[in-house]
Amino acid sequence: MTLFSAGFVQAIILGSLFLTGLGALLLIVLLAFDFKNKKVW
Amino acid sequence: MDYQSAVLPAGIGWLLLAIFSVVWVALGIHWGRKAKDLTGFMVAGRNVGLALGTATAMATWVTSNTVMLAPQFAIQFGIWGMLAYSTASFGLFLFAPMARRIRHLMPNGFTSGDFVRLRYGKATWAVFLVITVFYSLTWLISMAMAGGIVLNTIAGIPYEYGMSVILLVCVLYTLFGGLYAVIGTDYIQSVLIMLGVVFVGGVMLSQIELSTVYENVLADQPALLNILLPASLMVIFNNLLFGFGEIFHNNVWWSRAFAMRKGIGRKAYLLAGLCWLPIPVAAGFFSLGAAPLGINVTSPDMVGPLVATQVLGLAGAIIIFVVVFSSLASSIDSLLAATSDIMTEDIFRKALYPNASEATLRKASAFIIVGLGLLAWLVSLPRIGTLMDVLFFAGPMVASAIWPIAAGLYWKTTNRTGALCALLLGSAGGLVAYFLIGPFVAALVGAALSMLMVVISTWLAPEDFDWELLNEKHHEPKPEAELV
Repeated sequence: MTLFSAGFVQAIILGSLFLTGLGALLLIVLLAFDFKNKKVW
Repeated sequence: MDYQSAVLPAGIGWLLLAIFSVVWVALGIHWGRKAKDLTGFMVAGRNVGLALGTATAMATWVTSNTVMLAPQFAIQFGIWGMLAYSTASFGLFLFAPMARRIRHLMPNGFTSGDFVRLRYGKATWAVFLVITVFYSLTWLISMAMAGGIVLNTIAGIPYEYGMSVILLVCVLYTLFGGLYAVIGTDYIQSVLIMLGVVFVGGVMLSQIELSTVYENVLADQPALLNILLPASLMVIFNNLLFGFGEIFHNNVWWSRAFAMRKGIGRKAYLLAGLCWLPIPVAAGFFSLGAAPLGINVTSPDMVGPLVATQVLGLAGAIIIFVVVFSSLASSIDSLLAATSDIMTEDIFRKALYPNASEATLRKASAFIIVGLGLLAWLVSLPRIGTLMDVLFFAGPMVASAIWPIAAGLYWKTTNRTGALCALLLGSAGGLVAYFLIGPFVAALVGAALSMLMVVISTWLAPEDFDWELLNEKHHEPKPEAELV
């Protein structure tokens, strides 16, 4: 059985948490920009 | 079903439900004031910006399954299970250029049904409507049932009450606010979901080492780390194709493409895919971390709530409740709005009453939203069991729409007979595969047969479709007074 390495598993878990947090931040920043430019909807 | 006991006291669960209900309905009423006409109500004025566009595409795709089922996938199918679940984001990525194309070709469009009718004619349109309405209803009912089950398992709220409240709240704010309310609440929900997942995951990391998680899995269930676990590889393909079919055909996604301002659609769907992609993996981490945290899981779909409560106590249970409520509401409201749009625009207006006034169409839309909510409630009330089998059943029908939609948007040579046959052959062949082989290959077979039919018919009998025909100049429905 060929297994995923510990490093790979750790990388995807840490990466997923990081990207999820980044996604939330991105949405907040994007909304701030849209508000500033009056382009929300 | 034997659930581990609720992690949140029922009183707090009811209080949270009440607070969210009041706030969400109030937002629906407030944002509903922006919907001055049918275009406002159905496609939010066609002016939605990047932030709200990204959030609504992402939040709609996050269902309670993403948070509750993804951990189960990790336990059943291991690392590949988590990654397989994430492949559902590929549908969003692939739809990104299509969203731009749709907005460009159909600046006055309202629904995916409009596209099929104009591109392929009434026969294909009729078959498509049957597929999409059936699938949308099934999805809506499954979400309503999930709402009742999840609120019961997390907070002990009786199934009938939890399901009824969440459905009622979604019906009300969709009714008052249309797509403005749906999109606005989706934004709040998407931020809550992402922050909730990150916070719980982050606290978990402070309490356990990732190396311990890996060693634990290696010792107890090494198969979960197997790179070539066959069942997982099948799940990947089925998930991928199911995702493509669902996103390509369903009006939930098309209505957003019409709602976004020109130039926004492609970026919004790409970003939404990127935001969605890591969430199933992060949720899968919850289940892999359960054992090192000393949690004995007997109900796999309770892993998320159990882990959150273990690491954060009552706060963790509240966070999970909020995340799950947000993911449920963001999907139910989208289904209500999009399904009512397709029934109002395609069936009520285009098929039955082409000269209906603005007021009549708004009323029809309202009745349909309430009717859909009532239907979902009646079917969900007896809690007939899991609807996953029915959803898988719809998989081949939905997958059969992938190629007619994609080819129809980009190849002017694809002809209407080929598209119709692709839908019928793909659906029939996929359903045969469903019963003879199994659910996990049905979507694959449906998509493959449909693809063959589209490609061969396009090659043998190329049409010369005029793209301008998709730019339907709606006569805007007249105000009531002018019809007298």
